[in-house]
Amino acid sequence: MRDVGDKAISGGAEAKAVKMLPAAPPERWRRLLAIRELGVLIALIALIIIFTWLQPAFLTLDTFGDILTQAAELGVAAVGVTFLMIAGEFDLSVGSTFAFAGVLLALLVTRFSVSPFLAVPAALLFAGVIGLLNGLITLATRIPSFITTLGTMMMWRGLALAITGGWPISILTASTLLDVLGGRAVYSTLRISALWLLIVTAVFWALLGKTAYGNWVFATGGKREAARALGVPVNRVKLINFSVAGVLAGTAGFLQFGRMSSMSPVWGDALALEAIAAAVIGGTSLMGGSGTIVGTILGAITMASIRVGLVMVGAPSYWYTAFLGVVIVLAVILNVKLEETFAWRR
Amino acid sequence: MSDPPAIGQVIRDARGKGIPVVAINVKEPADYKGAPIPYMAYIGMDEYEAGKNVARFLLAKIPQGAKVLIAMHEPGHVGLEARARGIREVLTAERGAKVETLDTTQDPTKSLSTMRAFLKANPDTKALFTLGPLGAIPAIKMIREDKLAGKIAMASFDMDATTIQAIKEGLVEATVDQQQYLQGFISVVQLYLHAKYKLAPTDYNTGRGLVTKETAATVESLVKQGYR
Repeated sequence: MRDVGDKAISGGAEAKAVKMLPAAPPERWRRLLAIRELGVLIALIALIIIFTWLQPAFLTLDTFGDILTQAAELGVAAVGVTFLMIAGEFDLSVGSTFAFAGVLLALLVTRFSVSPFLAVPAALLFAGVIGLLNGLITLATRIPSFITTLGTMMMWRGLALAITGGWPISILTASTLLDVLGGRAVYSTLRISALWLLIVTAVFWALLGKTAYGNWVFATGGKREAARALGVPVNRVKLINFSVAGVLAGTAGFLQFGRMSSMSPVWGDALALEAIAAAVIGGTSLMGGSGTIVGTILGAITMASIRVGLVMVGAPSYWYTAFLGVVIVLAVILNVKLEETFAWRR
Repeated sequence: MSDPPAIGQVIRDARGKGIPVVAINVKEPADYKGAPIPYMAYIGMDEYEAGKNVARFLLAKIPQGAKVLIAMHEPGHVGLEARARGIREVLTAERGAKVETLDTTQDPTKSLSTMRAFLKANPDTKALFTLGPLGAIPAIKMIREDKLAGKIAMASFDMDATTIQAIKEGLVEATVDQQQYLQGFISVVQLYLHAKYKLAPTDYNTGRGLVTKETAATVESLVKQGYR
């Protein structure tokens, strides 16, 4: 498990934990407890057990198909956000990039009759440029990315509203483009968007864990000066990751467009904070330098399960958001406690 | 009138100079407590009445004691809550219906899976109301995918391409039309009558319009011609 950054931050807790645990547990336990995604995994399994106990219909393929479809759009965007967070930066504008890129694609294929083979790469490239701009502004002016992307969040949302007049753009006839993006069912309620999530997860899991670039990302978000001294091109890594966050946010927008046969300029409104929440539930540090892609996906699945589960057990509807908030805080506390208690796992 | 502080003084000044003013489309919010805004009449949709109207339209499809779902895509939105309240009151009074309001959020994917989860937990649901295109788009998707047409009666608010198409296909029974054209037309007529014959403008509820399978095609072509 790679950690360059937050060792220093939780160093005190680590020292204390070591004192509490004079003997490290046996090797087999050690390996299990060393899984970074353990916290979110425990939370997810606990939720599934509770929901199934209260409502047996929760534990069906139909339900999980729906949960995965919901997690797909959030998850794809959250992978980009995680990648960027590990490099020590935030992108609050992903929800607006999601909407703008989606609306752009919808306009290109409907109003301007552009071929999807051209429109998809073009809209995706634009999403990447949105991300790149976030990076350039942040690095050139040294404004915190939190603020840069707060501004660009409003800007791109506003532009999406302006070019559509606030109304959704719909495709009312059968469309191969929509089917490929997210329309077609793979099995029961499971949509093709879940496959896209799997592909994105695999690619970025490998990139982060198996390549030199992955090491650079961890180093950039960890101790920046040390990374620079070691020859890591810190700024280039950040620019690439900002662009990746943009491209994946756009991709998530396309998936929703495919799923709904419509694209509204107001969609993706809560995406940025939910993506950060998914990452944090999955064990990614807000300080940069540590995190995992699989954890983020499990975080996204956890959040989708909570919403579907609460409806199915008949919880009062206006309370969902409150429940969700409580679970997020509990999951993060669990992560931090695991981290402290099993500090040796680094 | 959605922003009384911004527009209130302008209207007071105009009325002070003897210029007649009528309001269209949006009334001042129900909880507005500032200085009164002296417009002479409101011509537009009454959200609460429109909710009652569309619920009455769907009564024939709703058996006694049935379960009904309202998909609320923006909890706390004054207009949407008023629409939901109108629907709930009619269905409770006329059918003793168990009306549930679900926070479906503005996110269509979440909306679809929460509605589907609700129907799974409550398979005896007989009707579904969405309060605008943001609820209707995922609801129509669900009705199409799960082949619910004929099992669950659906109605919505406002006219967008997806909703009109679904009405033509018989997936949705009706949608409330605010009749913006009427809002513009009637306000001018009323001001003309006031100028010419000193007839006082009166409140006019344009939200009585429902687009149904019978009228959908006609309305659609009139929209394209710019009349609706």
